[in-house]
Amino acid sequence: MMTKKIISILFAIILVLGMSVSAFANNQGIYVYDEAGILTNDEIEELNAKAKAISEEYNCEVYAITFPGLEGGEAWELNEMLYFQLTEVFGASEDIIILTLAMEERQYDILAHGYGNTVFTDYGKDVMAERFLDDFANDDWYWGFNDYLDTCDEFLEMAANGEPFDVGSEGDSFGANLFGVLIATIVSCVIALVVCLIFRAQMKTARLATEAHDYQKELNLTNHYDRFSHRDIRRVYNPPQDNDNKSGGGTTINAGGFSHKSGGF
Amino acid sequence: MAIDITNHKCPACTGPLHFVGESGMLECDYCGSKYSVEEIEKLYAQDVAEAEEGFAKNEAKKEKEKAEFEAMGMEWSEEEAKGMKTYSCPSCGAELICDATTAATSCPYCGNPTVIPGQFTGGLKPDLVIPFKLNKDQAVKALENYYKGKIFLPKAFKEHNHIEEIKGVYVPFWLCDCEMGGSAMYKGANVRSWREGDYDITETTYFNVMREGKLEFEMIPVDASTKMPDAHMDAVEPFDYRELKPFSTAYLPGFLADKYDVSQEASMERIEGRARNSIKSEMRNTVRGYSMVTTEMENFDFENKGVKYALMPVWMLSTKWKGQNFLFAMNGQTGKLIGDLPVDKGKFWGLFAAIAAPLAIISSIIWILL
Repeated sequence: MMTKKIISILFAIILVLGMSVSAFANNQGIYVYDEAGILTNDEIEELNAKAKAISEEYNCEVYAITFPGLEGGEAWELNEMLYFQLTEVFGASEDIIILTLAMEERQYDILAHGYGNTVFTDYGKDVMAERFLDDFANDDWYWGFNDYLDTCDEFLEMAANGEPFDVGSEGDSFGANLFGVLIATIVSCVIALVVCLIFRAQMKTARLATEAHDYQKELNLTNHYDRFSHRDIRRVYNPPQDNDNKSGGGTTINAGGFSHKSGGF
Repeated sequence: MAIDITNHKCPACTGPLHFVGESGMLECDYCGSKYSVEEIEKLYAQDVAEAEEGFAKNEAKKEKEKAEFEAMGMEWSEEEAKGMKTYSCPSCGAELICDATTAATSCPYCGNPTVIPGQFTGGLKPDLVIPFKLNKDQAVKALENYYKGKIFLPKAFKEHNHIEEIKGVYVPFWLCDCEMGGSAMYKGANVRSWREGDYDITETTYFNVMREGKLEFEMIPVDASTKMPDAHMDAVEPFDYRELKPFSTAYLPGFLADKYDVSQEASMERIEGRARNSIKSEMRNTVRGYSMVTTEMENFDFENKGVKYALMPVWMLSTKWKGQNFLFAMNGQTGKLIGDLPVDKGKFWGLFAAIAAPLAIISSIIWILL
């Protein structure tokens, strides 16, 4: 198992080194690397310009990378290799976020480091993934990356304002507000309708009598019993829920100082 | 002129007498004399007998006239004749036609109150009556108050609603003494939950529950007139039976009265239904101490223990609005008022918007701020 893992990592390093010759040879403001060849040149240019603008505005570098395949490794391992390559070889900032897609396995990984860990919390990464995964699932690569960059922009701005996006921050988003307004409107309409129907019910008071309680005497019980019949016992396995950081917000950082969000698309 | 009706006249001035609920006496509008029901009954016992005799004579005369008309080819059809009754007003002499079930009315020409005794003779005589306790002014006032606070009531409805036309009617009722007896089976269950290690445990204990017994009912009322909507008559209940009196026509002058046209047998289904529902809920209420109860079987038998024929006092107003009839009824004894009112759709949706809009805006703002 370990051997396989080492081989995989080595392979990834070789892959990255190989890539560095072709792709990272020029890091003069390049933030989008399409090694899998899934974007057109125009799309790369547009996305790169956007990523560059965001990176420069908030001093946190935003990268988007596609790879043909993992060759047996894990997406997060590959992404950490890419981080070292970018920072140590090409002098990229340690305050960073990288989204990498491995096309053959259809796996992705979001890596954050430094200030990126403050901005992109575990919950923030979950929300970010939700926003781009629907596009990637439809092979809509350009719009998937576009959503990724928009989300980076939004979260970086919130962090710059002193409130990084995390659990409980959704109330600030337009979608959440719209949802709240919708719920408030529906509840208000229901309350108004109930009040109106109460007043309306006063307009119709003639109803057929279905019982005769006003004319009855006391019930005379002549016989009665309550006998035990049987007992059912149901056991449902319900282990305690793990209380990880996600439920309380914040960012889970590994020993290398990275935080990740990985999955398939 | 055949004397086939009873016209209660004032012994002092011969003016028409009316029964007044507040005093419980018959009063003369002209000289203000007051007489108790017993006094008038005694005084008019002979008149009533004569009226009944006259009624019989009049019926014979009508038969004779009918034969003459038939000979002339001018007869009423059988259906037409079945639903009508004729009488002569003893005050102004007008020949009047009324519904076959009408038992007390007033002359539309001179306003003279009249009781038609043929309607309440022999087996048709009611056993009991509850006299009117509330007068017309009180009924009108109650109806005016009833309109207050009804925010969906169209303004024009009140203006076109001839409230003064409210009429006091003695409505025929059957009062049934009965008993329901039988048994019911239920399934009772108690649920207990707890946790053992990583397992949630739910224990449900079931019980077979049986109840057997009987429930007696005293004078369940059901209206015996097809003219009166059942829902309205049910809704003005209950009447205070402590004020039931043996029937006398002396209670009728000044009010309208109908004789029954729904038989006891036809009314029994409604009486039994009400009694059955009552015993069901009473039995069910004895099943206590369970978190869940389901009814598995109910078997009850109905026993009719006697039916009485009674007249009950009801103030009624029928009014038409935009092609629809709206009927109000007020218990002439207790003052309980019921009826259906039209709903102004504009006002309905106006209030809806007036509540929903500010509520939605305020709650949305609170949501966004929090």
